[in-house]
Amino acid sequence: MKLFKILDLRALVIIAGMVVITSCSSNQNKKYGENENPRSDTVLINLMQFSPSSLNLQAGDTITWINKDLVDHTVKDTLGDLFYSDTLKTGHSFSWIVTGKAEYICTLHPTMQGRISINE
Amino acid sequence: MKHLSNSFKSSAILLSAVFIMASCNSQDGSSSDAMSDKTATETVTPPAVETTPAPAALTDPEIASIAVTANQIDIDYAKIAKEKSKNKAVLDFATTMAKDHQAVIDQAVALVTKLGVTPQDNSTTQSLLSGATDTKAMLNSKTGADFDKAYVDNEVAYHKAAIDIVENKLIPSSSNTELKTLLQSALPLFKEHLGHAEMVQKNLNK
Repeated sequence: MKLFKILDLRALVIIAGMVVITSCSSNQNKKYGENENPRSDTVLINLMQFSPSSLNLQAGDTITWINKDLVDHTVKDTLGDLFYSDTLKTGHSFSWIVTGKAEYICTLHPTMQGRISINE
Repeated sequence: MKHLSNSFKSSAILLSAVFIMASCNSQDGSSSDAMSDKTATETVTPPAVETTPAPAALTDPEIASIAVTANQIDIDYAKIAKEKSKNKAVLDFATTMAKDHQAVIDQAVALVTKLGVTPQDNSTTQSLLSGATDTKAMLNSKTGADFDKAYVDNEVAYHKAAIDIVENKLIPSSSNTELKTLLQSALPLFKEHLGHAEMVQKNLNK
């Protein structure tokens, strides 16, 4: 009976230790501002506009541009070269996992502009 | 002066239809205002100069013809630019013009095919083609930076005129809903092209 109590106590100590290690490890991997609930947003390209033209997102969110226009478009970040899509034909889309703020244009139609700001 | 005349000729032709309509409307309005200032006993003398008869309203087949022709003309200008220019901004702009205007033509052709309508030649189409012949000759006579400037200046003027006629004449005149929607969809495209052309023009003039 005493032996069982000692074994139980040892098992408890080992389990507690593992919990502490796992917890510490988890905290070490978690970066400041990490996005625990990444969301997805869509920007429609229609009538020569990005709609919405401005979005406030978090790093880790996904943004998808869908071309609903008559003509081809692209999306290119001009602030930090974070993304540059292929040519998007009508009905095609391009997705990017947000890594930072961006100001983007369509390189084929450079008067078309959009912006992504980061919610820290 | 001759350069200016050639450069803006096709644009002037595009605008002429709009001006005629505006002029006719204006004449109607001023006549009515003038009448209100006269006394009932006063005799109104008819003007000695003959007034231009109001143009007949455009039919959908005529609108389709104008739309296809106007887009094809800008594709032709872009082809000349792609052959003659060495300026990257001008070449990129010309490539976009050729692709975008072809896309509009494809949409227009698909629509008239669906509707069973044959685009009908008309005086505006003929005027556009005539003006384009002169403009293409002018562009082909230029080289280097002179060509780039002439091409981009013409693009600015041509798109201003196209926007005017699409907005003020073709859209209001079109009776088929799908044709009207196509023209309405093309309008922001032409406005973007104008902004793009002005951007290139500004950089060329630096």
